[in-house]
Formats: sequence, C-alpha cells, structure tokens
Amino acid sequence: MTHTHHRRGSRGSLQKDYVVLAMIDPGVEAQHTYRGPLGERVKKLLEILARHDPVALLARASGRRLRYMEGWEPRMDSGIHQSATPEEIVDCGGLADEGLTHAVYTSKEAVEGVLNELKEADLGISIVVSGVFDMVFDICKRVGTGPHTVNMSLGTWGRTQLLPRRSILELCTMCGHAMISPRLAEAMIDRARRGVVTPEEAAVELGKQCTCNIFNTTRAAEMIRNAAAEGV
Amino acid sequence: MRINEEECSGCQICIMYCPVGAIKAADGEVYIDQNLCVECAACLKSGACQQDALYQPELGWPRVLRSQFSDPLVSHPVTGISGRGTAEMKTNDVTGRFREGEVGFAIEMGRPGISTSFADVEKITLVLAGRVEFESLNPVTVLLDVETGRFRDPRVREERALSAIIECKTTEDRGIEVLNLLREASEGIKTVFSLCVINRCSGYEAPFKRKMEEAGFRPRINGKTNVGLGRPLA
Repeated sequence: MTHTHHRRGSRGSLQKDYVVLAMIDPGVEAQHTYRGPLGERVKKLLEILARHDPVALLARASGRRLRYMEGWEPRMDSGIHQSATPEEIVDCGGLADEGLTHAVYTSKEAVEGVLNELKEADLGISIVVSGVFDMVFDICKRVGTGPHTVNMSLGTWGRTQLLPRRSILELCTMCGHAMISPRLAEAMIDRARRGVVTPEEAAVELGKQCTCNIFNTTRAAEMIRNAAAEGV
Repeated sequence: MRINEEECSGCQICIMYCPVGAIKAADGEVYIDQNLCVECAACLKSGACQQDALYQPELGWPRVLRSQFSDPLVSHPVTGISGRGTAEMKTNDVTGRFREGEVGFAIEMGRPGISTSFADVEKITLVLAGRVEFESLNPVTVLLDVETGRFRDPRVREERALSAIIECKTTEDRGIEVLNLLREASEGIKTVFSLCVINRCSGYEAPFKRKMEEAGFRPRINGKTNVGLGRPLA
C-alpha cells in the first residue's frame, strides 16, 4: 500500500505537496495499548492534523470514511463521495477500530507544526511524511526527530510509452490507487479552458474519486489552470 | 461491473470515469469490455450514472481477485486492510520489518493507471524467486509458490488488476543485483511498474541510496519518510 508515493511534478510544484499519514500497525498489540485507549489518541491526532490547515483530511471510523477536501461543497457530492468538515471529522466517534488517517498540506511550515505537536503529544502512532526528501529531513532536524526508514521511488519501468502526457500524469498520480481516470482529467482541463467550471471545481471533481482523500486540490487547481492556459 | 441495458440512456458520461478505458460506446450503445474491466468500481462510486444502470454482480473465483486488488475500499482477506499491499515501512518503527542492512522492494505492477495482467506479475515473480524473501502478508505472495515464483492456480494469470504490488526484501549487498534483474525483466512485460526501494536510515542518510547512485539508479527527489514517532520502537 504505497498510495502516497510516486507523485509526479517539478520540485517547485512538489514543494507545495505533503501527505502526513498516521498508522497503527494491525499486528502490533503494544502500539494499540501504548499510553491509554487508542480512540482518545486518534482523536488527539485528528485535532493536531486539523489545526494546521490541511487541504484534505480523512478519518476512517466503523467502516465509514469521513472526508474533508478544500473547495468541496455539499452541492458537489455525488455517488458515495460525500463531503465533511474538519470539525465533523475530529468529533466523529468510533475511531478506535480503524488505524489509518491522512492529511494533506501545502507548506513545510504546516508539516513542521504538525510534527512538533505530535512529538510533544507522544501518541505512539507511526507517522509517515510523503514529500521532497531534503525538505522533510530539514523539518525532522528542526523538530528533533530522526527519520527512521525511507521509501524511495525509482520511477516507472517497462512500457512507459503507455503513460498519459505529463500534465495528466501529474494530476492522476495524486491518487496512488489510480482511481482518477486520465480521460476525466482531460475532460476537466477542457471544461476549465471553456469556462464551464473553475479550475478549483475541476480539481474537486478529480479529488472526489480519490477515496483515500490524499488528493491536493490546491496544487491540482494550479495545474489545471496552467494546462488550460497552455491549450494542451 | 455490468450495465443494465434496459436502464442505460446511452449518455456516455460514465466512460470518462473509467480509469482503464473499459467502458466503450459503439452503434449508440454503451458496454463494458469485461476483459479490460478491473472491477475497481470507480464508475459506480462516482455517481455519474443518473439512471442507476451500473451494477456490481457477485464475483466468483478467480475474477474476485480483480476487485480485491483494484478497489481500495475492499479489504483483502489476507491483509485485513484495504488497499493493495501491507503496512510495509509505514509502521517500520514499531514492526522492524526492514532492519539495518536490508533493502525492501515494492514493485507495483500496472501503476500508474495502466493496469496489469497477472501473467505479467508472474513474469516478475519468476525472476525474483530464490533471490529475495517475499513478504508473507502480501496479497500477491499468498497466491504464489514462493519457491518457484509461479501462481499456484494457473487461472490467476488470466485475471487483471488496476495494480498489484510484489513486496520483498534482501540484503543491501544483493540489492543492486535485484535492481539489474528488474531492469532486464521490465523489457519483457506488456505494462509498467512503479518501483519503491525501502531502506533504514542511518542518521539523516539512507545507506542504500548511495549504492544505487553508484550503480546508475537515480531515485526521485520525493518519497516517503517514516519519521520515527511510533511507539514502542522495535
């Protein structure tokens, strides 16, 4: 499960894209019981994640997925894709039975704020930050935590001629499970170009398909705006 | 996934929501290419069909593999978690799954967004068998005879998935040999794979990164960092 990995883009663009993933390992009982009930620790975790202005936040509770994504209004709900507010996510019950939460941020300052608070809170929950390595390592140094393990990307191998064009690939790889169709991305760029939707609305329509909610709508809106302006 | 032809209005909106291009139109009718469909249910979940013409039939063996590997909302019966692999390095600070001196690989067949046949997955596992330790909790591993790298049920080869992750590890000393084998094997597949390389940090360095660079493999600038806040530490 490497769904926050392999995001494409220039350094300038990737510097505005961080996923903070929190996970309790299903097989490590000691982590489940570390310093008190898991439900209370997950609630504290969500409070910290929500406090630093994420552009996306997910909580999984009792089989439900509660999803906040910047720009997603209830009028845009469709199918199983239903929006929630950060407050609804923090206050939802039944969190202890699910061991995975994500938040997406657009600045290193936000991630540093999150890690500072998490280190202080000592929740015992494993934290993974996806982003540009040297920037994440700098954050670790300032926070005073040592990186434990890295997962590096050697990119895509094999018949790479099958891949969509660069701007589409950069949009679609923000959902690591590939639930965002390249055809949908093309259609959203085209609609933004014609003024049928704003780049922000187009970004939300793409992000909704990413059921793990790790799509960065702020970064995507910028990409869509640029692609629409370029006419490609 | 199926389309109820009596309900379908032929609007074709669902076509653009399919990640693998399995929904098609011909002679005014919309249909799903059942060979290409990976049962990810993205079309159904999108709510794109105003007629509720899309429906998910019950899937038998081995077609059910498509759903287990492709739909991130379906928990795999082996791992018990939704998604396509294991916790891998995300909880390595508490599991110690990857220890100092080891290097892990996650070879995600079909990613990003191309999809893969399990026949192509097997081409890679055949190359790796005997040279790596396959992750026992991984959904691909449980289908394999790990000694040979072959699927125990040959019917699996006929199935497809949006992606399938082969997870394994070896020692840092043998890591470059594995990468060279993967490079050679990548020329014989009909799809793509995205390649993860996992390594324990020594201070603020990943020792295997330098070995890769010396051997001509250049990692991307971005990736995942387990920042060591899990407790109790393994």
